[in-house]
Amino acid sequence: MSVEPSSRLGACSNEPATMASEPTSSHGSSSPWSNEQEHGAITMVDEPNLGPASRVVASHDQTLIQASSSEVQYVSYQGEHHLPLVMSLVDQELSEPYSIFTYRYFVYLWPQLCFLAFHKGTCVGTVVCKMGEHRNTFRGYIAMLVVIKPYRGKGIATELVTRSIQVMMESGCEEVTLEAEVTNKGALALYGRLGFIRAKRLFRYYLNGVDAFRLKLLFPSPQLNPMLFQNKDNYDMNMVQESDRESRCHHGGCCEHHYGT
Amino acid sequence: MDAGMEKFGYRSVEEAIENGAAPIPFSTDKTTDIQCIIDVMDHLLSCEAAWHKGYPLAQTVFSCIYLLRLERTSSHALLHSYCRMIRTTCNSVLSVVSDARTHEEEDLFIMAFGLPLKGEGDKKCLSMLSAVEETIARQLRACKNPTKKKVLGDMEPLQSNPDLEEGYCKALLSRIRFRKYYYHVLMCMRKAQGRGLELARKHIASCLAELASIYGSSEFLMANAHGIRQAVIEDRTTASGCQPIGFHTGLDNVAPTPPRAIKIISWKKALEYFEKLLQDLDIICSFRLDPLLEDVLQFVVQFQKSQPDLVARAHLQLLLVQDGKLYGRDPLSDVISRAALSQVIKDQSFQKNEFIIQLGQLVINLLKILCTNAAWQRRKLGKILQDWGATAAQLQLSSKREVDNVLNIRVEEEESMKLSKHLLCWTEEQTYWIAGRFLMLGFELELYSPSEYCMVYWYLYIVMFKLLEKAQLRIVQTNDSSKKKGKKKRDPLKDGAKEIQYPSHILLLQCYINLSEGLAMMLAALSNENSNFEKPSIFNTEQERFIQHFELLQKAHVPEGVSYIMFKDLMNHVNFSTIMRYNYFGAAQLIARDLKGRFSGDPEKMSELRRVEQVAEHNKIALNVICQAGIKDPSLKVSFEFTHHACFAIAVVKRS
Repeated sequence: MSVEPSSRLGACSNEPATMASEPTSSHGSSSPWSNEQEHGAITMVDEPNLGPASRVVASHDQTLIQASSSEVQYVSYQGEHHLPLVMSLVDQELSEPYSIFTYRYFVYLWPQLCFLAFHKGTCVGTVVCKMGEHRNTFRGYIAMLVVIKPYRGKGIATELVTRSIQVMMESGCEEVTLEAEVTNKGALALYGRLGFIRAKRLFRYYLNGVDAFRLKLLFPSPQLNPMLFQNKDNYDMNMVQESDRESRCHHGGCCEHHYGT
Repeated sequence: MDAGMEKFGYRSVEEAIENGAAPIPFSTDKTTDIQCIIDVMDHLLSCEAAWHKGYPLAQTVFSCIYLLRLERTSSHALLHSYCRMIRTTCNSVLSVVSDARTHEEEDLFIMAFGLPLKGEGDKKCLSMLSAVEETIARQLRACKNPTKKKVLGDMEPLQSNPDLEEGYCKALLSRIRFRKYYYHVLMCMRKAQGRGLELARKHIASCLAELASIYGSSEFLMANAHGIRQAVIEDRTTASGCQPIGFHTGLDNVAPTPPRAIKIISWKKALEYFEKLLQDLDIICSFRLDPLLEDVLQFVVQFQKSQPDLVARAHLQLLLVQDGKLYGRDPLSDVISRAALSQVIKDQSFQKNEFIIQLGQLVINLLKILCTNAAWQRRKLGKILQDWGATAAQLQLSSKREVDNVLNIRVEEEESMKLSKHLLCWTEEQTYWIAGRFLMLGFELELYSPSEYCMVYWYLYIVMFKLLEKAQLRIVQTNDSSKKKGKKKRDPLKDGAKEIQYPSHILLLQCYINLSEGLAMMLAALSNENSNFEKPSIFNTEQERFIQHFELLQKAHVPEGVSYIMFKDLMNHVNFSTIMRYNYFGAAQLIARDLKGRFSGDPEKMSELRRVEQVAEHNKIALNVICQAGIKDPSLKVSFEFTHHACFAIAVVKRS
């Protein structure tokens, strides 16, 4: 039987194609902690290992609080008085506890990337992030994302993380990364909707023996995706962001960023 | 201090010993003493399995105070010889894993932190344990046949209760013999050039029999248990269900360990772990040490499908690559010439050819990478693609240069040109094989989301298509060479009429190509014709996801000229009528059916063919259903599942 390979999907012929390959982004394919992954050195000072950083469970709990989206207020980190709220939420919900130094590392250096969600004066969710150079790439990193159980399934986590990513993008980040447990379906679905891909699987990444996915969001760049930048008014993403801003103002005028430390 | 730091128990081994945490003997009552040592043996087995599973040695096997101060146990022959055997085995396993480097680099497995893993007299561990075994075997014989007791001499019973003597003798013997055979397995498997594999298989069979016997002793040991019972019976780390004596849960000065308490796996799970480990080792031992690289690669890929743990993978890697040779036996130049040229060239200039040396190193790296866990394997495969791509580019340059000078060519240069051509073809074939494995591993690791399946199947289709092309070209090249060597005059008309008989693996590859192409087309049509199927994300587009997923392939130009724009241009016009016309799944089914006759003696290939057929059949039906119902029907929900094959999805059509 002879094999007749078809070329209906555009497989190249024997001859080298004349079409140049797509330029690829210059960033490396690892997160801020790729050095630990690949060279075995865990540096707690610069890059604390955060364990299951982004835990969002989308399942609905029977004790869900009846809170409409307009009743939830989002504020950016405003100073030391917010720190106990962030710590308490993370300690309560994530499997691996962090020392106060870990929290301070993030909120002192990148307060603009930390947001809190309040419902009737109670802090019900938070996101903690960082950004910086990584292998010639300016990269954002989502370290912790928590929404307490009764408030899950209301889009609070999406709103928190969207605000952080928005600031990262405006600050010139080329990409955003994070790790999430492979079993954390809620978080994976949330980040998938936002455009993250599962770049790598990290074998037994967490101390509880569970694997992690390294998730990555690559922002469009003018070089790679010029169409998106030709006519900003037609760009879906901008439209979404505009409506997003409007809705934030509607939620209580909390779109100002506070940088107080 | 880290917020997660926890503190337990004693500050030092000495303090633990002073406080009676590890008494020798366990009890003055001989029955209790035996019960306690069996608990220690069982808990150590659970600890050993937990260590193999990735927990630190210091928190698992070396949480045993008797092991930490082995010299203290010398008065207790049974405990001493057993602990010494455990220590020697751990050291041997640790050296296999660290030599093979199949562990994750941050893995805790090889971190011994100066624990006492070696000691004088460890070489005698086997004879010491055999002596104890002999004594207990005689005690068993004596209790089974009291009339013969006199013949056996004044043999002291194992313990004080005659009714329990047989049960305890048997329980101990199975545990001791398991350790002995397991030690033999490890020693045999480390013999150079796989010389001990046959014997290792016999010891593996004995090991498995002893494991069954250990499992069988559980009922007796539970019925006669003493002491403090473990809280959760399912999690028990001993057959009796009792807490073992002589283990610490955290000592400050033993070794630095992560500041977290760990959970030792249960005794039952430990038995299951060792059973699986032995079965995996048996698969390795049954390998024929095939000199054909293609067969070696197929074997490793097949072996990895059973998800072997670190220790088995390390043994496989050490078997495959020893002293820079395949199996420590075949020089890489032989392996490459056999694979690329279908003959072994013993010529020294060939062996010293810079491309051969370079390719030899690439093959060694590839074999080592294929023995690592799937997650790490994929990362490394992606990275080595660039090395293979660079070598292919150099070979291409070399053969072109030679072609440019074709008019002034000498005989040696002509030979060299031919060699470069053959090597180039083979190198490209390997590069596409690696790329295919990289993409397919992404499915196994669940790295793709449904919205990305279309681009992945499209890329996979192209990579496999190129692989097929190179494999065919190599066959043609080899046939041409052998024809010329034979120097027989043939009738060209007759030759032309004769169809080339393609090897089975090429036809199987054609099946995969059809499935990939069919799935890519189906997904593209769904996306083009059903607006519900894909939802855009707010921060980026499909193009960014394409760039990220195929970044490493694109960097290595695998294949040259493939881009997102090309993908989009081709996929934008796909519709269901095109798919129905080409009948990709039907073609895959047809080849799979034909192949069954060729693979009838290979059960693994037969089951793969069945899976391919199921995927093809299922998707053929799904396509018909979608077309009949009308794709624009908003109540139609199409999802993709991997119920039949790890890499090729089936479409599930439902009405909401």
